[in-house]
Amino acid sequence: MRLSADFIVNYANVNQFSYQDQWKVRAGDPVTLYFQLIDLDQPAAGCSCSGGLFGTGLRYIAGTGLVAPAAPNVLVTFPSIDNSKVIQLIATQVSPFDGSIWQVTLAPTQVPGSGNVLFQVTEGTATRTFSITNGMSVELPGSNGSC
Amino acid sequence: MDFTNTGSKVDGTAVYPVHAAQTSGLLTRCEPMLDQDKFRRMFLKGIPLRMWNGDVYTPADLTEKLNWAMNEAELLLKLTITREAFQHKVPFDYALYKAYIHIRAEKGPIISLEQLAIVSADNNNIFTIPPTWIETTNFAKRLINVVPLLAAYGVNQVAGAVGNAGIAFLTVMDGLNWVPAYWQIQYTAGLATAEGQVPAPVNELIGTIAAISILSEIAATYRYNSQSQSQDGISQSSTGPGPRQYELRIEDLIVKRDMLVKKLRAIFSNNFFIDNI
Repeated sequence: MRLSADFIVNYANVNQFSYQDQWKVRAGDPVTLYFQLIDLDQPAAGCSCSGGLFGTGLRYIAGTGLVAPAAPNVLVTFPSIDNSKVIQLIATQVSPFDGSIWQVTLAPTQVPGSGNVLFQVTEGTATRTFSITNGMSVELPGSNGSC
Repeated sequence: MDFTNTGSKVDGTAVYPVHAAQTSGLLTRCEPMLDQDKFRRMFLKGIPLRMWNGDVYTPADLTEKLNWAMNEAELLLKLTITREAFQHKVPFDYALYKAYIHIRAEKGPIISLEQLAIVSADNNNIFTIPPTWIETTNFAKRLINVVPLLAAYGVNQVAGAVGNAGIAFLTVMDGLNWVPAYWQIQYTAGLATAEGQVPAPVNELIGTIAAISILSEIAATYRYNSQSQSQDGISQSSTGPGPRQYELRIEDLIVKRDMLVKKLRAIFSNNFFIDNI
């Protein structure tokens, strides 16, 4: 089983949202980021495509084998070369009706770097990690004249 | 990397435009790393991404292509697009030492210098150059200079006991001509001080590299050089390259293979060596 994630935008409820290949945010904006866990080794029905972004793997509900009160833990990391700038966020499930959809919230003071996004899914003693290539795009409206 | 305990020395200006102390904000020069959506809009308009046999370029494929293009751009430019930390030793060269310890780092542009020190082969730190002596103005060109004049002759003092004593220590080196691994430098280098941002021309280069690769693939799938039809005689003819259909594509790949071999070899060896005599 190789887990991955599809990024979600315009989330209203479990029946109304759209997929996007990348989170796009502006620095300083408060933003909630949604994603759906998928299993790349189980291609979505009717999809002959392989690996990667949205619609290419069956949705994955973490922690189905756990006995309450044990619960799965999903960690989203925005890496940085500077340890003090690494952002780690604990994801929460968005709705009890679809356990595959999770969310994290970025505060206005939290500005991740554009690039890969790392995920860590812990279910009991099993921890699975994966990275989404160039999963985050951050615009810096106030300082894009130089870098 | 933990930067809290390093003697980080930065130039204080932007990497791009080089030495920009402040910009107006009227022109966008830096942007997030090129993503497949923008790549499609800027390079592939009008290009069918579906081939005759049903193969398609998915968003995942384009993202992977861009990732490879970014790596290829790093090889071509001999630098890292994102800010990364490096550590290596450079030789002691007497002529360069007399020229204010003129050191050229392997990677650049240098964003910050964490440490410049004389480190022995068994990794013992013999002497760390005080950050106040380090001149940063040529960081953009991968050059590190040590100018201790202010500390030695000016009103400024280097904090700690090691500071001014270091000048005397450095003069001992006058008797040496060449030491192959002497100065150890720890630094970060990349194309932007803001992580994940890329100068616009670099994004354009990345897109160009990826577009060349994709267009080369697509072109190879066109099977016919010419087609003709006539109505009254009800005839149709098609001509194609036959077994040479993929020749152009193979030629493209050979050029790319040779370039990659050359660049990858260059990373791990010296093609030629030029220095002071």
